[in-house]
Amino acid sequence: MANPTIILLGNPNVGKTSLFNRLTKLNQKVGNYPGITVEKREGTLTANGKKYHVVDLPGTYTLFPNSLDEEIVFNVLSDKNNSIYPDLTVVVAEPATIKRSIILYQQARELGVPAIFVVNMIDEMADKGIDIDFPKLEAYLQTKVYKISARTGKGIEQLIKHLDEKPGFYFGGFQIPTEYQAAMDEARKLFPLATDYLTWQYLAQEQVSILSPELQSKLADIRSRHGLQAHELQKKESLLRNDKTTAELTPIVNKSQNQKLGNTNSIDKLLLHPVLGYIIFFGLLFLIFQAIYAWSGPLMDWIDGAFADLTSYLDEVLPDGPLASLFIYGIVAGIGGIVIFVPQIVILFLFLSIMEESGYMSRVVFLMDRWLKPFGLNGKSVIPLMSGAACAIPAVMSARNIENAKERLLTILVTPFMTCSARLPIYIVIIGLVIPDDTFLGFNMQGMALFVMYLLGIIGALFSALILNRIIKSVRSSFLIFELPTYKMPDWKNVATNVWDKASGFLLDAGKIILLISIILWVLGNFGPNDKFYQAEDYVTQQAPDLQGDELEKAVGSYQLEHSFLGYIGMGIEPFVRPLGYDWKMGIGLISSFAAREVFVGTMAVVYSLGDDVDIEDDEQKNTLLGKMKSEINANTGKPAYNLASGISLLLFYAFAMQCMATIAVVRKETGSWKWTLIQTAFMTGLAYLAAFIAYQLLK
Amino acid sequence: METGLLIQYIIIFILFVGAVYFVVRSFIPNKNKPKAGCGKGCGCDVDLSPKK
Repeated sequence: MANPTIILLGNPNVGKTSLFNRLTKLNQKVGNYPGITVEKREGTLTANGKKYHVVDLPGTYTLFPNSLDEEIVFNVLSDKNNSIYPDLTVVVAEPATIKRSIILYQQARELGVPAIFVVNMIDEMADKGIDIDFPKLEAYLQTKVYKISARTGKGIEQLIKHLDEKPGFYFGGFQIPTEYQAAMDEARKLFPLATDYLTWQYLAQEQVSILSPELQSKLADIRSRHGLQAHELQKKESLLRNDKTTAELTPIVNKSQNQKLGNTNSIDKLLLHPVLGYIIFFGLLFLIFQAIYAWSGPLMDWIDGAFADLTSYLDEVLPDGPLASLFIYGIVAGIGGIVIFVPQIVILFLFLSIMEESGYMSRVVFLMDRWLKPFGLNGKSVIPLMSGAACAIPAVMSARNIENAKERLLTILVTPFMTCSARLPIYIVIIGLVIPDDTFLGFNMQGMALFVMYLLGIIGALFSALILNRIIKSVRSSFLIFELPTYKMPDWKNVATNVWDKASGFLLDAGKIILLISIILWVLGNFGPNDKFYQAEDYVTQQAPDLQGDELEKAVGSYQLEHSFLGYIGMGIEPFVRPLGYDWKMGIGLISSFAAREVFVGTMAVVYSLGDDVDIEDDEQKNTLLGKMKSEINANTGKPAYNLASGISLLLFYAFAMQCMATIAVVRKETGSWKWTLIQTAFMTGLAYLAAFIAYQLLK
Repeated sequence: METGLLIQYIIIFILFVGAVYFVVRSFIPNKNKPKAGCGKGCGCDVDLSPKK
């Protein structure tokens, strides 16, 4: 048989991913489905003279799907035509929760899936106070049971040697209650080739996505005729299985004092404390925020500097010409614009992986869920939202940790509202222009305005979540029933693999789109439709014969930008931005800042003939730009271009608009859909337009 | 216009058209392409369509 498919099945927190990493080493790839337990992890294992295709299924407690993850598991195991239907399923358990894993194993076997049983964390049995009679367990499960420790590698060789094992026939344990037999008789006629338990599963599920709508409708008819509710059937099976397994495991599994649980409970008294728990969590968030915002700074500066050096070097060695210019300032600069985000992504995912691996992430969900649930978000949404205050790109990626599809989507959609660091230069310039540098009630008004802008980001995110929560329908409702895993030291291999996956995924997938858009924007900004672009110097010297040297160069740059394709597009959108109080020059800024918000300041500097290297942190350069912008007259109104009305309008526009191609690319990657990416862009830009319009019309 | 410069403009034009093509193409759903992260036929695509 070529490439047998081995599937890892198990409850969350049993060390399934550690086993997967141990089996596949680095020969693995992660599909772009979000979430550590939602991602499709697959890899290869070369052993026993063949190459196994190993798939790590999402963690699940039962085969009855209550979430998208569990639906994936059911679909794979129930459909023999599925491309990853297993040749062997390895059901992974851990000693403390072995009963639940046994129920999952039994469900899988009764579906007709070939499966073996593996007890992981075998070295923790004594600490967990568990004693298992393995020969009896093997007889009970009708299969060989393998004892392993994925963390240390113990027992892995033995397991690999037996991956070609063909489990014997399984005599099912679940007896379908007699009160459902009449309905089952009818359902069996619909699925004459299915096992009895698979037919029962179909009957007990409200929606089975792998069945045709016609079959689903027939199943619904059967349930309706017999007065059955799908969830009642599921509940019945769960209770019957639980009682039966509890009784049958009594002579096999002995439990005494769980030392690990005792330690976990002690730590939880602190970390889940109604007051201290939040203080510790927000302290940790503050640390993460600092790390993303400040610690990544030197690395980002280094990358920025390295690309600047590379650009200067290429500028020197490459022959002059438009192609070299595209290569240096379009392609190399575009790659630089992608790579610069890597330190933030690595740092954020390092923290998140450690939180996930140690078991703390489940506590975060527990702490925050009650506060975010009313907005349709999840406890874990707090991480992307807070990280979004540094940069939306790693923040959107961190929403992968949210298992519920709708909550994850909502989080991705609203995270870019948070005030990221790229908005700061725009806020500083515009606030400096339109808000007086006075004090109000002892507070600096410009500082207050900046605070309000940050607050607006939070309000925008939560308010949008509230609206989108009502618009987006969910296949399944989410409820917070989950297990708090015991605390453990992170498996550093898992942490490293996770960080690598995120960073490389960003570079390859989102980076591709960012690079393409960089090329498009470069061409639009460096070519024009007529003579005015190409003979800009002649036109400028005709208009201002006294200009020379640097001044002339800056004026030519400004004139060229005005008459580039980008400039004409800026003029083309003027009718749309005029009601917001902007002129065509600001229109150019709006379009070019689609590459990244902070580009607005640089573009305005070029438009106002100051060159494109204005450093906003340099007070002298900032004041020169502010002075130029203050004296600028709006050609449409004849009034100052940057007055209170247009300034507030511009602030509101940048607070809400999706002006960042890197974020758009990441959202596209994370949602796997242009539909949601475009809905988000349209929603944010629409909201920004509306807010800016209202503000300008009221204040003008 | 000298030939060298013309060739450069042609290459830039091709790159630009290529970039526009790939960006536009990525907007168009490909029915043969599996949904995000899904194996072919695993049926795990999400129905998150707006409410009707």
